[in-house]
Amino acid sequence: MGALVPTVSLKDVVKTYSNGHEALRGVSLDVSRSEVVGIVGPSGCGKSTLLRTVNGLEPIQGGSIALDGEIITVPGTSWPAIRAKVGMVFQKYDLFPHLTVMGNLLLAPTKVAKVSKAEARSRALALLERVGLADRADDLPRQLSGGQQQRVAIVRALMMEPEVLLLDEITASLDPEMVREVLDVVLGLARDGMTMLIVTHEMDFARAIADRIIFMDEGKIVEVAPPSRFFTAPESPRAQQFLNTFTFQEVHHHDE
Amino acid sequence: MEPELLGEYLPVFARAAWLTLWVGLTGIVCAVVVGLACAVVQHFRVPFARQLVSAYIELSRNTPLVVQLFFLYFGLPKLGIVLSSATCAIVGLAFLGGSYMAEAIRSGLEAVDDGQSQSALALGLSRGLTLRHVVLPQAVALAMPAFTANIIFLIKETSVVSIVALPDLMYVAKDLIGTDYNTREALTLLVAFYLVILLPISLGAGKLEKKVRYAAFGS
Ligand SMILES: Nc1ncnc2c1ncn2[C@@H]1O[C@H](COP(=O)(O)OP(=O)(O)OP(=O)(O)O)[C@@H](O)[C@H]1O
Ligand SMILES: [Mg+2]
Repeated sequence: MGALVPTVSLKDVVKTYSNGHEALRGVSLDVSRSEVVGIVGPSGCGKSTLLRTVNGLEPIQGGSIALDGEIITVPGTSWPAIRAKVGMVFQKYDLFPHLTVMGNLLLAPTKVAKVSKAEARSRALALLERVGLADRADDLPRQLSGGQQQRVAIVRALMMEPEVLLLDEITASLDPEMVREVLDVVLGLARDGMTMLIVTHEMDFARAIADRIIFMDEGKIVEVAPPSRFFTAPESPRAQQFLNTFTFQEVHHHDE
Repeated sequence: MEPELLGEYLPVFARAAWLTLWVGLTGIVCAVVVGLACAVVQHFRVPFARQLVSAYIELSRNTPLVVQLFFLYFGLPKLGIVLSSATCAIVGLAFLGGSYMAEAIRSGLEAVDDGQSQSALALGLSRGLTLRHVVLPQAVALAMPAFTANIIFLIKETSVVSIVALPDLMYVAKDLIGTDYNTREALTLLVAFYLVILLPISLGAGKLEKKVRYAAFGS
């Protein structure tokens, strides 16, 4: 990390939902440029909530969040401007069904970033090419497979040239045979130096892509470790327990 | 039934039908505008305006159109506001239809998957841009069935606007029955003209519904 300002910095972030549920109970995390952070933990531990606080989809009740050293969790922040710099991809892809692939890709650049249509189009085509979907620009989302839709959703986020990408279980709704094509795109981004916070249940993927693993439980970060150590010798009993559930599943599969 | 009489009345009814259609469609367009504004206010829970909209919707839904028209035509002049028959009819339809359209659009807005606005906001779109380019087009498609039902309902409701002395189909029919006692001919033409207006709208609406739905969701 050195002397550089972290790209994303969370300090003692507290998120309490309106029903009183404390989803984040003092979370601190610095992510440096080009770093890939894998966030894992049991269901309901606050992983999605954590990602959603970074682009302000969830307002926080305590602590602070900074982007490139600038605190964004202050009154008067222009969230649309922040969100243009922070890309997010969701589990259900959520492409806009009434727009073509190209329409999905052009919306934010032309309406928000005010990029010319021609420029946005050529950027879109270049990115589609990269994810192997150049010939699908004029198709509607429903004409694509789940894996193809998710690749388009990634491209849609990239269209704004974000400084950080937040990926929330982007393969969780996909049929197994489509997981690979989506993860390959993300691996490519990591190689190009994209800063990413990745929530995933694909442990092999987390191990392969992450520079650092964050293990969360009950709204707190319980363990931070490089993947090689986390997946072979986790320190906290909670993390050991959590990883055991995965090994058990694997053993179970072999039996079948 | 005397066929020559039908021929004689035809132009009168045609003119009245045109008026009915014109007042009806103008009223509907106004109702859509009112409904859209109300639905957006409710969707965004705009403080104060929201209470106003709720009050309007209750008032509009719980008073008959005849009463609303009476108020516009006979009540407002007492306050120094005199509206023509046609204006009364259009304002009345917009007042009545606005709340129905608001309800249709609001339920459409609520039916749009939350992930749609979440991903639009995440891309940096403002709430206004998200509504306009992402949520509203889908909401309208989802609201189409309610929308077209409302349109047909409102055209039918135009049959009461004759009470503000607007020479629409109903007015002409009543007039002819009262003066010439040619009840059968007048009634035949009345029903025929309402069918001529409403059937194409009903059929067209069904087609449009499917088309819009397909454009938005492909099913
Ligand atoms: N809008 C909400 N209102 C109230 N509570 C919520 C809301 N969203 C999430 N929660 C609660 O906050 C906690 C954290 O939720 P979150 O979605 O961040 O978990 P997660 O780690 O992403 O889980 P999963 O792996 O199942 O996606 C959960 O207990 C959840 O029930
Ligand atoms: Mg989650």
